[in-house]
Amino acid sequence: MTLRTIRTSLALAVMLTIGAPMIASAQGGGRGGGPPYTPAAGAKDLRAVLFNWTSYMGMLRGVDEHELITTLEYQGNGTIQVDGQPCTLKKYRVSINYQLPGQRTQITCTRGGQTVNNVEVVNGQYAWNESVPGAEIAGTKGTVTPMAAAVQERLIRLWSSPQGAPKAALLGVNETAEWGANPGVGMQDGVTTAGKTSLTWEGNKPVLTFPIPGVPGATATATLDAKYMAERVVVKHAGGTTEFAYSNYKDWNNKLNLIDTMYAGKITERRNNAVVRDLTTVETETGSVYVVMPVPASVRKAITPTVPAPPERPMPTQAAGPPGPQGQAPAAAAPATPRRADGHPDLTGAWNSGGMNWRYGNRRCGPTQAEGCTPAINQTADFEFEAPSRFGPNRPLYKPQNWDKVQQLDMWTNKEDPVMTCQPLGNPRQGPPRRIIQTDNEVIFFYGQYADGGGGNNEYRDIPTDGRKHDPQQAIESRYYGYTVGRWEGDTLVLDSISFVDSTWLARGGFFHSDKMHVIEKLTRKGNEILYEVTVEDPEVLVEPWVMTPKVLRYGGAGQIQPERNHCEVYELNDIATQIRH
Amino acid sequence: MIGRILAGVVLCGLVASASLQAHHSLAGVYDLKKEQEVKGTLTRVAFTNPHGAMHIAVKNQDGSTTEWILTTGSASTLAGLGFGNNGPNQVHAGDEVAIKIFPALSGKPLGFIRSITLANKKEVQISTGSSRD
Repeated sequence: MTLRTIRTSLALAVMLTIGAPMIASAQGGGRGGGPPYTPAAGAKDLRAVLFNWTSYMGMLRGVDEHELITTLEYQGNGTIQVDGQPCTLKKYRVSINYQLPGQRTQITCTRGGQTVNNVEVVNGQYAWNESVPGAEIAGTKGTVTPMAAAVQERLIRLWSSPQGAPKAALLGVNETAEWGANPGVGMQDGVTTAGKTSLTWEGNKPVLTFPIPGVPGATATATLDAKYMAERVVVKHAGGTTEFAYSNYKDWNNKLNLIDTMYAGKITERRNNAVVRDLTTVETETGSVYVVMPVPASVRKAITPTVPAPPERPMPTQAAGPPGPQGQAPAAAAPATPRRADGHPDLTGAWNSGGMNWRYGNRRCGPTQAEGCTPAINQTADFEFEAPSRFGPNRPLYKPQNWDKVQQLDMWTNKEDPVMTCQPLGNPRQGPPRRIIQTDNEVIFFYGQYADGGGGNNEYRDIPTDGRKHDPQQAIESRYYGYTVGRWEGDTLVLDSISFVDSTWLARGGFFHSDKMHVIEKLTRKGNEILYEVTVEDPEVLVEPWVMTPKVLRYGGAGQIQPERNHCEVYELNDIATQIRH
Repeated sequence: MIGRILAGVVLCGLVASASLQAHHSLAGVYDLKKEQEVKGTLTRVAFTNPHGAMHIAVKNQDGSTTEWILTTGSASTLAGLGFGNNGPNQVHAGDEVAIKIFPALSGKPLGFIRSITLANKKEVQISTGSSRD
C-alpha cells in the first residue's frame, strides 16, 4: 500500500466515521476552534452565572462543554425523620436519572431498636414506595404502594439537589433546549432574566430564582457560594418552605473513578425550619451509570397525573452529511428510489450515518479540576459522558435483577467490554452497514472501524433475502452477528436474526444480553436515504423489546474496496488500574 | 485545500487514537500526568489496527534487560505520520531508539507512546500529551 492510498483510505475512514464536524474544522470553518463560550472576567449576568455554576460543578464535558450529567448514584449516612422521629441511617442510596426525571431512594435506618426499610421512588408525575427495588416489574416479588401525595415533595428534592438545581435553572431558561446544551450558548450577554429564571446578587453571592419542573407554583431560590456552587436552595410551595443546605463540595466518586464532578459532602434538608434529613456523603458515582425506574402498572392505575408531561427535547444529533460522492450538493428535488429489475429498492452503495453533534477531544480544564489536570486526561475521562448510548434517554429496560449488574459491567467497562478482548462488536452494536451490495437473492453488508464511538472491525454479513425461514440445524450455532434471514415487506427489507453469542453488548454502558436475543432490522430506502430501524427482543433479561433510535443513512456513492479485518491485540488487560472508562 | 484536509485528518486521527479508537480508556491504564523516557533496542514492531505496539529491550543498571511493551495509535494513524515498515519514518526491530511514554499506573513495564526519537536522532510526536497538539 502506498502512502498516498493509505492517506486516502484514512481520510475516507475518518469522513465516514467521525463525520462532518471534523471535516468542518479541518477546513477551518464551522465548529472548529476552542470552546463555544467563556464568560468575561467578573461577568455578573445570568449567562455567566449559569455557565459558571455548571462549570465549577464539573458538569460540562467534551470539547464543546455540553452539560452531560445524566445520572447519579449517591450513598450517604446520617439521620432522617420517620413519622416525626429521628432514624439513624444504615443505608441511604439515591439513584437519579435527570432525563426522566426520576429518583429512587433506598433507606434502611434504625430508631428505638427498630429497623425501618423503605424505597421511595418518583418518576415524572408518579410516586410510589417499593418493598424492594423494582417490585412488581417483570414479575419481581415485593409490593408497591402508590404515593400520589409524595410526587411534589420528591420532585422538589430531586430538582433542588446539588446537580438538580442548576439543571432546573437551565430548564427555566429553556425547557425545550437540546439535551446537553452548553449553558452559555444561545443566551444573551448582560441580561439577568431569561425565560423563568432570574438572577440577583446578595453582596458577592449570586442568587438565582427558577421554577421547580413538574411542580406548579413551586419556586426555588438558590444562593451560590464563592465557587458558584449552591450553598442553599429554598423552595416555597403551597404555603410551606423546604430548605436545602449544602457544603463540603468535592469529587465524592470512588477513588478509581475520580472525574472531577462535584457534589456536596454535607446535605441538610429542613421543612418549615425543622430538620428532616441530615446527610453526610459517603460516595457518589457520576459517570452516567444505568438508572431506571419504570412505573409499575398498579401505580399508573392508581395515579392520574394532573400536570402535563414536559415537552420533548431534541437529541444533539447531526445529519449524516450531504448525499452523493465527495459531498456533492443535494439535488433540488428528492431523487427517485433506484430499483432493481425485480422491483425492489436497490440498497447497493456506501452509506453514511450521522452521530452526536459534538466534538470529541481535548477539553480545557475546568476551574475546580484536580491538580495536574490536562486536556488529554479530560479527553479520556469525558467519554463516560459522551458515549452516545450512555447519554441518550433511550436505553434498554432491563429487569430489576439486572440493574446493578449493568452498572457494575459499565463501571468496569475497561475489563468487561468485549471490545477489550478484540471480539467483534456484533449485531446490533456494530450499527448500520457502511456499504451494501445487493443481488437478486442476497445482501452483503460491510462494516468498518469506529462503530459505537470506538471499536469495531472490518466485518461483513451475507444475508439471504429470498424469504426463507431459519433452518433449525443452522440455528444451533451461535454467532456474533446472529443467524440472519431476510425478506421484503413492500419496499422494506426486514432482517431477522437469532442464535447469538451472549458475550457481545448492545451498546456501551454495560448493556449485556442473553443468547436468546432476537434482533429485527428494517431497511427502507427512499431516494438517497435509508431508514434503518432496529428492535431488540430479549425476554430473558429485558422487560420489553428495546426499540433503538432509528438512523437515517445517506447515500455516499458506490463505495470503496473493503479493507481486510484488523489484527487486534490487547496488551493492557492485566493492567486496568482505574474505572475511568471509554 | 487537500493539504489542509489531510492535516485535519491527521489531527482527527490523533484524537481518534487516544479516545475513539483506543480499546482502553487511557486514564484507566496509564498515568497521563507522568512522562518517562525509555531507551533501548526495538525487539518487535507491530503496525496494526486498531492500535499498534513496539517492544523495546531496555538495559537495567544491574546489567539485566527488561522488555517494555509500548502501545500506540492505529496503523492508519501512524501511516499518516509517515510511520511504517516503509515510509519516511521507518522503524524496524533492532533499531536503537528513545521513546517518551505515559507509564502504566500498575508500575509494570508498559507505556503509551508520546514520541519517538529514531535512530537518526529525529524526534517524532505521536500522541497528544499536551493541550491541543
